[in-house]
Amino acid sequence: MRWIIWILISILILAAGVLLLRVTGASLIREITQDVSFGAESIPSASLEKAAPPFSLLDLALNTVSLSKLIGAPFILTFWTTWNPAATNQITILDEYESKHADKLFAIITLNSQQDKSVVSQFIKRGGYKIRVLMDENGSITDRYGARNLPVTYFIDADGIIRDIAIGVINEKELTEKSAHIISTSPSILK
Amino acid sequence: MSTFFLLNNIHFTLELLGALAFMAVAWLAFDAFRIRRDFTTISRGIGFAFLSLWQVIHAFNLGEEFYGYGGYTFYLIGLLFIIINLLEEAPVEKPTFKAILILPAFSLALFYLNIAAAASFLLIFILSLVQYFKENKKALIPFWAGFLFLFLGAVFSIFSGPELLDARWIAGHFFEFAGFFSLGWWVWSYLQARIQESMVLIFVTMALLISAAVTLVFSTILIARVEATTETNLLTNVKVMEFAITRLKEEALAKVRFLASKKEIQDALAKNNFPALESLLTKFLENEKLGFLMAVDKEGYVLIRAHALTQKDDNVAGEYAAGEALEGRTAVTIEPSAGEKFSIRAAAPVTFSDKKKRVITGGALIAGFPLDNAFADMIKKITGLEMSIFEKDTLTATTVLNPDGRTRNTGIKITDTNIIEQVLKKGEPITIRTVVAARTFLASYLPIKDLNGQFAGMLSAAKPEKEIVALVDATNRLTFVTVALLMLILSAPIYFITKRLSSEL
Repeated sequence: MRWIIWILISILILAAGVLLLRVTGASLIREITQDVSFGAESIPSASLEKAAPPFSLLDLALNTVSLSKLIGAPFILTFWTTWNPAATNQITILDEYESKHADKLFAIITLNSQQDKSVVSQFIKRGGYKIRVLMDENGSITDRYGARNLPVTYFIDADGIIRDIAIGVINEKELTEKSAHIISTSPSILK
Repeated sequence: MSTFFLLNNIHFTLELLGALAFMAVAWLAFDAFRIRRDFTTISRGIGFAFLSLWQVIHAFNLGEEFYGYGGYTFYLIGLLFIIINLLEEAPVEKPTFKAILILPAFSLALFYLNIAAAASFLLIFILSLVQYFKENKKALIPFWAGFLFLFLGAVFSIFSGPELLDARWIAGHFFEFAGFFSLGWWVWSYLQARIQESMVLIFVTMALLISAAVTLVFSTILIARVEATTETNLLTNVKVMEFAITRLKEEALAKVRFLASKKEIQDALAKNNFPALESLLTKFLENEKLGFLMAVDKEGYVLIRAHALTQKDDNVAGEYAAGEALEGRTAVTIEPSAGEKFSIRAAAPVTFSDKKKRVITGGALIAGFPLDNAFADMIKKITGLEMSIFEKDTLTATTVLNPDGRTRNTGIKITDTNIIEQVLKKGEPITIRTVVAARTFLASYLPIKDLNGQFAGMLSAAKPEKEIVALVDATNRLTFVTVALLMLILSAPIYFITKRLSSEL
C-alpha cells in the first residue's frame, strides 16, 4: 500500500512538471543566444504600465504620424537602425509577420533612430519591406523612450499604456505571445 | 538513396519493433493480472506499456518540446515501474543501494535523461539476473539478456545524437535490436506454452510486424525519389537566382550608361556644382529604382553618394568597375567595396569638353545593387526561394533564419572543401549534403564570376535536412497507420477461423 502511494505521488509530480512546461510554452528553459528577450520583470520599469511618451514624426512618405492618432488600437513600436544586423533581422521578421497575418488585431510601427532618410528609404526599397517606418533623425524620441540596445520593441495597448518591452530580436512566436497581452487589455478591439 | 535517409528508416523500423516487443510483454502481464490481481503483476504491465508508448514516440521522431518531454516521462516512469516490479518479486532479499535513482530535471535535456535511462536498464538487468540465480529459471535468460543489450544501447545513445548517424549511433541501434529481439524471444517462449489463449496477441503482433516491414520498404523507395527531386529543384532554384542577378547586372549597366550620357549630369560634374549633382543623383536613384548611385571625380574620390549623403570623400579607383570607367570604358561586375560591401557594380565614364574643346573623362557614375540581406529578402519576395550569397567562401547574405527564428549566419565561412574545390576553383555547380553552423542541409551552389573571369563568390539554395526528415517521418506515420489498420482488419477473419479450428481440435 505504501508503494502505491509513493508511486502515485511520483507520477503526480512528473505530470505537474510536464503540464507546467506545456502551459509556459517551455519558457522555463531559455535558449541563450546573442539576442536575448527579457521578461517584463527584468526591464528597468520606468516605462512599464505607464503611458507611452508622445511623439509626432514623419514617415518615409512624409506623412505626419503622432501617438495620439495611434491610440485607440493596440500597436507595437520597434526602434531600429540599418547598421545594426540584429535590428535589420527584426525588420525582416516584422515584415514577414505583417504579410502573413493581415487580419492581426494590432499595428506594427517601426521607428528608425538617428539615420538619414535617404539611407533608410533605400534600405526599405531594396528589401521590398512594407512595414511603416517613422524617422527620428535627431534621436530625441529614442532618448525619451530610453531605447538603448537596439532593436527594442514596446507593446502598447489601445489606451496608450506600455504593457511589455522586449530588448533584442523577437521571433514570430514571441511576437504572437506578447501581442496577445496588449490585445487582451484592449477590450474594445475584441468586441 | 543517401545513407542518412536509409539509417533514418532503419531507426523507424527498429524502434517500432521495440514497441511491439514491449507491447507483447505488457500484454502478457495484463493477461496474468486477470488471474493474479495484485500490484506486483500489474506494475510490470504498466511499466512495459509506458515503454511501448515511448518507443512509438521515438520511432515517429516526435522529439519537439511537449512530445519530447512527454516521451521521456513515459520512458522513465516505465523503467521505474519495472524496477519496482522486480523489487516486489524478490522480497526475500531486496538489494540495497547506497545511491538513489535521481530523475534529472528536464531542463538538463537529453544527455542526462539518457544517463538515467541507461542506469535504469542496468538496474533492471541486475535485478533480473539476481532473480534468475535465485529461481534458476532458464526462461529468464532472454529477459535479463534483453535488458543487458538495452543498457549497452542506451550507453551509446548518451554519446550519439539524432543527427550524427555515426558508428556510435549504429552500435547503439545494433544493441537495441539485440535487446528487442531477446525480449521478443522471451515473450515467444511463454506463448508457445499457451498458443490458444494468446492467439489474439500473436495475430496483432504479426499484423503490426508486417506493417512495419511494408512501411520500411515503401518509404525507402519514396525517400529515394524525394531526395532526387529535392536535389533537382535546388539546382533549378539557384539557376533562377543566377538569372535574376544577371538581369540586374544588365539593368545596372544600361541605367548607368544612360545617366552618364545626360547633359545635366555632365554639366554639374564639369562645373563642380555639388548641390545640383546631389539633387540630380537623388532624383535618379529614386526614379531608376537603383540600389545605390554615386559620382566620383577623375581621381576616383567619391563626390556624392545619393543613397548615403553623409558618406563621401573615400577613393574607389582601386575597384575594378570604377577603374575601368575612369579609363573611359563602361563595365559591370560583382565585387566587394568599402562603401556598399559585396555588390553588383556598374560604372560609366562621365565625359565633357574642357576649355580646349577636348573631350575628357571628368569622372564616373557608379550604380548597382548591394548583395546584402535586404537584397536576398527582395529576391525571396519575388521568387519565393530561400537563398544565400557568398563572397568567396564567406556568407554575406541569406534569407535563412536560424532555428531561434531571430538570427542569420552571415559572416561564417564554408569549410566543406568539396564545395570550395568544385565551385570556387573549378567554377562548376554542385549539389551536396553539407553542415553549416551545426545544421545539416541539402544545398546547391553556383559560382559568381567577376569581370576578370575569377570566381568572386557563390549563390546557394538550400533545404534543411530536418525538413526532408520531417516529410519522411510524416510519410512513415501515415503509411504505418494505414497498413496496420488494413492488416488488422484483414487478419480478423483468419484469426476467427484459426481460433475455431484450434478449439475443435
